[in-house]
Amino acid sequence: MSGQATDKKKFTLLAIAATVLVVLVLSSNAFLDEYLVARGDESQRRSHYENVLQKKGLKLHEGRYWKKQ
Amino acid sequence: MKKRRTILFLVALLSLAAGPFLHQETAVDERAALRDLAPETTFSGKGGAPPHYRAGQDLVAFNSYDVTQSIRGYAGPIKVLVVLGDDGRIKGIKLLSHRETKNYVHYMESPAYLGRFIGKSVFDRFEVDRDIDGITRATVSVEALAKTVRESSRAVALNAFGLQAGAGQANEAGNWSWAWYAVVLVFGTVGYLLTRRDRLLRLRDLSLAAGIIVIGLYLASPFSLLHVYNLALLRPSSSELWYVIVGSTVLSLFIAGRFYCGWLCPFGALSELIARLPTRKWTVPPEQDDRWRGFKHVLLAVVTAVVFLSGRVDHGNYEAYITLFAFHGNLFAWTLLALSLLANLRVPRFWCRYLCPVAALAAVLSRRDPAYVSMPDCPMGNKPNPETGECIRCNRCYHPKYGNGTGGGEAPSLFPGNVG
Repeated sequence: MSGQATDKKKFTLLAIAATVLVVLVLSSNAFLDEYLVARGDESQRRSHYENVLQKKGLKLHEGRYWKKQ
Repeated sequence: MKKRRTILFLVALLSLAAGPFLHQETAVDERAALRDLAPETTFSGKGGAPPHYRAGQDLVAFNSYDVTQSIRGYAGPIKVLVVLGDDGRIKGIKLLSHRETKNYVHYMESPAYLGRFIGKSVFDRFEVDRDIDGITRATVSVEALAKTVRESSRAVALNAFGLQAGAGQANEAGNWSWAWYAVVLVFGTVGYLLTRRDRLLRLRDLSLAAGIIVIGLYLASPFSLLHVYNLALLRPSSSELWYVIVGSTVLSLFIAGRFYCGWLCPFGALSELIARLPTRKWTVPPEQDDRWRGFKHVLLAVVTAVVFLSGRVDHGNYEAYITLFAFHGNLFAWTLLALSLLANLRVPRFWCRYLCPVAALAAVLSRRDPAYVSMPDCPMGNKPNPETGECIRCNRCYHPKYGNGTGGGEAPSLFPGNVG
């Protein structure tokens, strides 16, 4: 009987651990990847600003249209 | 079961309806991509047929999707920005967008791989594993990429530079991966039908082994919920393999319940083989077992809502078999995979019983067959007369007499002491 109780406890722990991992995998799909992509884009824009736009005396938001001005 | 079916249907329907209001397709910034590819070159505005950007007389750039909209990978089109010279050679290439499962195509996205297209001519064949390197486990995606670059480059080279390429050249040799899948499917189906008549249960072991080797390791194409989501979001593939997998599995769910899980699924097979190792199995109380078996239905509903509301199929990907057979995933995904496999040593088919979203979908789509009465050594650890979604149709307990309700009364219990 005590063996069964121990099994029950271990199974509960296993199932909870699996649930937590599923939640972490789903969260990382939705947030981590998006966040990393957004950070990458931001750093690319900043690098373009510092290397190209700033030297032309343009602000970041004007830089997009600098050819027309 | 009827209640679960209704809830899932409502969740799917409401999420599908609300999704378009919550997310919008962002237009690809082709100019930014062009700036990355050729920072020193000034391109004209987009124009012409097919639409392209021009820099002087000797360089054009175009989005492949503007030219070849019908070529699709595993989950819709793969859009590529290509810079082409007047000699018909590719000068630059950048992936603009795609919806392929990232686990499989992470190498295809890398500049190192795309760089291999640079210098190729529209007169080249662009055939995977011949003049284009293939990527194991991403065959369909890589073939779609090669084909879209080839066809779009040839069309633009003809119109922009008058270069006639492709006429008289043989098309690609053809991908026979669908035939391999079909062979395993036919073998599994024949085995399934034979074991319903006779106790040739070894046939199932052969089918499981074929599932692991062919569907898992060779094709890396286990049926996944992502297939169903891509179908629901109208993002079908142009690959024959995709249609064979989705068509056969969905059909089998309606006709024979979780036949796929019991006879073909490579992950289920691996789980069952691990569970057969002589280790002491835990005794899980029935009420606790039932409660956690219901958890996979909750997961299916949550993931369905997430995917349809976000419009992003990859957001719903937690399936351990994708991590295993793509050989790629993040730390959490690998840990979940390891846990799911090791758990079989104590709880047979742990993933299939408690977590698998395909199992939950199968339960919703299939109908009960009373001929499956369960028995003590059931690979799923089912209790007598199990629910539809819990039986993997291994045929160990199949009682034809009680099928179709013609047996007269309940099937006898095969459990000692008349359990249940």
